[in-house]
Amino acid sequence: MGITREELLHVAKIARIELSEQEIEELLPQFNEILSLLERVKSLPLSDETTIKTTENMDEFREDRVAPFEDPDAIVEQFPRREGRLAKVPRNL
Amino acid sequence: MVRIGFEIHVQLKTDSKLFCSCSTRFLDAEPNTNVCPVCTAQPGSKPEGINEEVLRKAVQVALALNCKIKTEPLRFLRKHYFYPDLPNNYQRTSEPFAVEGELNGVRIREIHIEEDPGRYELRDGTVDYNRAGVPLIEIVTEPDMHSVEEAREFLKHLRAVLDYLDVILYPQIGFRVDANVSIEGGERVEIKNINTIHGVVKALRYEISRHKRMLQMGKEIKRETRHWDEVRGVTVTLREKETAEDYRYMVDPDIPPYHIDPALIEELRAKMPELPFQKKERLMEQYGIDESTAWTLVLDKELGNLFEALAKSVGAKNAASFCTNLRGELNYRGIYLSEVPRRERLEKLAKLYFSGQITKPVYIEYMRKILDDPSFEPQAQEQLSDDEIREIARQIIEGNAAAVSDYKRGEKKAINYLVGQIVARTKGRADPKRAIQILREELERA
Amino acid sequence: MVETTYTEELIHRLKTGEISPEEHLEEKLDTIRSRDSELNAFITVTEELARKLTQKAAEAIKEGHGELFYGLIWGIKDNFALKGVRMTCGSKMLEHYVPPYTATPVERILENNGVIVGKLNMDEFACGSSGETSYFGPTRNARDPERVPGGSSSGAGAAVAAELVDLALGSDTGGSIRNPASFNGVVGLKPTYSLVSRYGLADLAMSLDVPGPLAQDAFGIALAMEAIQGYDSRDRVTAHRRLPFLDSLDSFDPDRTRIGFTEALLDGVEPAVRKATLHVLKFFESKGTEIVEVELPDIWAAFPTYYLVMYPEFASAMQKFDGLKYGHRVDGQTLYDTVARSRAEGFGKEIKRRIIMGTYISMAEHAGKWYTLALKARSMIQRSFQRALERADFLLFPTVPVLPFKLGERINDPVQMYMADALTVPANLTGMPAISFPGGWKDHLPIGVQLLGNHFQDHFIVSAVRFFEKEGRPWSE
Repeated sequence: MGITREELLHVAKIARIELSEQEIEELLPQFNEILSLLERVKSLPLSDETTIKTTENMDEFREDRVAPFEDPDAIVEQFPRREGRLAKVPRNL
Repeated sequence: MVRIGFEIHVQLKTDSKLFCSCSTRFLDAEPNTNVCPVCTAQPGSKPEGINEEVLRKAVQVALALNCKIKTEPLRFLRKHYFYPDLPNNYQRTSEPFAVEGELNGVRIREIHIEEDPGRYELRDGTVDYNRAGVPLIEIVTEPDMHSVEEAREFLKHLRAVLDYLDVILYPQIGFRVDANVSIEGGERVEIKNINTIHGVVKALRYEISRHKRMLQMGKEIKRETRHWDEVRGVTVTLREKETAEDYRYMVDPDIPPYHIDPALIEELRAKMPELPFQKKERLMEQYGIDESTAWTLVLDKELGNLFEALAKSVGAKNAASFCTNLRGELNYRGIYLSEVPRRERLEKLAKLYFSGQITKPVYIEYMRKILDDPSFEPQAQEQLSDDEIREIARQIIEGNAAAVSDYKRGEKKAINYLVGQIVARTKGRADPKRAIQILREELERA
Repeated sequence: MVETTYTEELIHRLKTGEISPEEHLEEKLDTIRSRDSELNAFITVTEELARKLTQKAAEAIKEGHGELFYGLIWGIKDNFALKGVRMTCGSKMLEHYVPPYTATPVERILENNGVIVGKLNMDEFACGSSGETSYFGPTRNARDPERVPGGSSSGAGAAVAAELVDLALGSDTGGSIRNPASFNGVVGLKPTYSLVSRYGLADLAMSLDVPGPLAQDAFGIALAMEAIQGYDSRDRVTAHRRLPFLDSLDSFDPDRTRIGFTEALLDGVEPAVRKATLHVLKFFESKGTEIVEVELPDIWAAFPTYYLVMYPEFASAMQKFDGLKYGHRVDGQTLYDTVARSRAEGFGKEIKRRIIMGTYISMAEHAGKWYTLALKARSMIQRSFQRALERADFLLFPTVPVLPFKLGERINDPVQMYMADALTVPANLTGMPAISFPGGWKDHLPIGVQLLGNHFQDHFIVSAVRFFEKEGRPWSE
């Protein structure tokens, strides 16, 4: 059990978070401590049931009707970089 | 042996988006106007309920493709990947709601519903979210096609079914295809995002010959995803399987699961419109045309409609011949009849031709003009005046002394030959009855 | 016996014109000015908006329809959207984000003549139980500025307790309403999941998040719930239900109530907290309530299960913050760099920790092991609470195992910090309602006691707290 430095960096890459050297040093032991804590759940006498009912609203639909949002400009204004009404983002992946 | 399978993405024709009430009409809208907190993933927004019309259209397609509709509750999953056109950086995609279908001998593995991303213009580095959240269905086939021709036939049949159901948001866009292809001795390669049937055919041809070349050279065909470069006419590597994304699928807790109501399925089954296969049978029986012609007519929905309209005015045989010619011209241009503006011009053209008001060369010329020039209007040819006909008749009489003397000797049939000469010379612009009368007068005088 | 409580009294005065909404607002603004530089309960004070809303409320009162709030002053946790007012979620990522829309519960507060005076400080993206992880600095405990106010609705707890606001809207994913209510000595309700719309509440963990009120008393809670509860077509998990909070507020009948209790819920709890809890239990018993011993053998598993459920949902919810559409942006050479750096700079430590944990757990190779395990464990805990509530009307136990601790004491030990949630997470995992109220005081430090009821019995546990407020007295040493 435990996660290696390489694995941690791989996960951080998938999560799109650049980590500093200091953050890696700090995270590694914490990550493993938390994982071993979570491991304890495995000792529960679990059945296979995984259904959790969080809502009573099964089978509800929305009618296909257009109701334009009243202020799309307020959305455009939040773009950190803009080109006209378009969001400006980098061109290289 | 070649094995080809498809994943086909169809934007569904609904008024509003899959999970919000924004309009789906992204094509002509100003950038980022058909957007709201939901489809731009503003913090705190939640998907509204599933658009009922999306489900109805999706079930219609599934029924037309002879699928089994699942009865257990349908859930939406989050498929996580970072991309600028995906506002949440996950795509909401349903579990398959229909399985085990069949069309034209190709098995349909499954169909599911998902949301379209926005439009990321890589070249400009800009994003427009108008398209984000437009409903899609993805139809996944088994790899049952064994040649490019079979693959093309399948796609044409599928397109016809979708057109008959009237479920495609923008017919001029049609559908997007991911094709997977493998040949004996090689791994499966996926070609992403091909926009036309014509493009699929070209991409498959390219890819199959690439595979054959690789094997001949003793090279390994790796499992990978490729991109079809329409301009250069080649496929290029997008990513290899080893570096494939980990989508971290998770049930979306914000979308309550739903059962597809058996009553809804029955209602839609009962309302199912005539499908291409059924129409083909009917046309054969009703109009006495052969099977291959009938398929040609029905695989383009509007062409089939035009045929039936023309059959009333110019007769089934003429209508079939007209529509077969038209199909050839459409194929040459790689378009469906629905993409031709002001299609009433074609009906007019057929009437002009079959009533003898224009000649065959003119008819073909006009047909092309109608397809290529939206402002072109077919007209009956301008008729020559009596004086003009008389002038031509005189020239014909001068040039055909033998026929003229035959006529004078009482061989009245000789006049037919001379009239034919006039018609040919005037390219049909002389009224045949007037031509005969004027010719007789001139013959008497000669 | 107490005749009337704080909020009830205030509503009466506003309704009868004994005090005008304008006067009331000015009084609150004065208190904010004098106390908030120390407490740091507010991220944004919306003075101008509050004056406008007060005018509107005053007119409504004159015309005889000032209900429900008659100009009561609200503070809104800064993870709820209010159109045109920045929403930071306590994060650098959203330091300058102005939402283009308004959250449903906030809209309902406005419709009912509530006056919003500002957006309240909170742990970054609601991740924390101490109020210390906000990018805008820690909030301080209203009863002792050396100590933490609890979290994540830290500003809400402190602002209600220090009377900067009359009512506050918070959100509760693993205890974020009840924990600061307990640490600041006020009342906080985590409603049944799906009773209150989450539309406009920034996600922490979608299957656990629920908005709810903090108030001085049960009356304030009932009044707030009357306004914010009920179905919302923009949050499709909301139930088609309304509960009779005000109508049943005074109908608690101790003789016909059974309280479930088990020593397992006092395991590892500080002595003062234990004493206060038993004191409240004895109070109800003395009034004729039957105390039923219940079994919760797997209660210890609630806390790791909570983290197993929350991490992946949180990581999923946080994907949207990429610096491209809104929020903090660091321009890099490539798209990847831009996103990874915007996130690295925009998020604090705890956020990064949780996103990376959640990403790890939900990766294809681990999901089978971890996420499925979490769902199974969650089902099991839900069943064991349901069994316990077949024998009792509600369970009674502490809100937080410890007393408010000093700032900085636990911030560098995430596991220790997570432990503070051990007794609040069961309500979220089960979707059941739970309320925290002051059950005792150790010197000047409040001790919260918690009642956990069955689904959609929210009004019932509120009435039980009301009964204690009127008939009982908190424990003190």
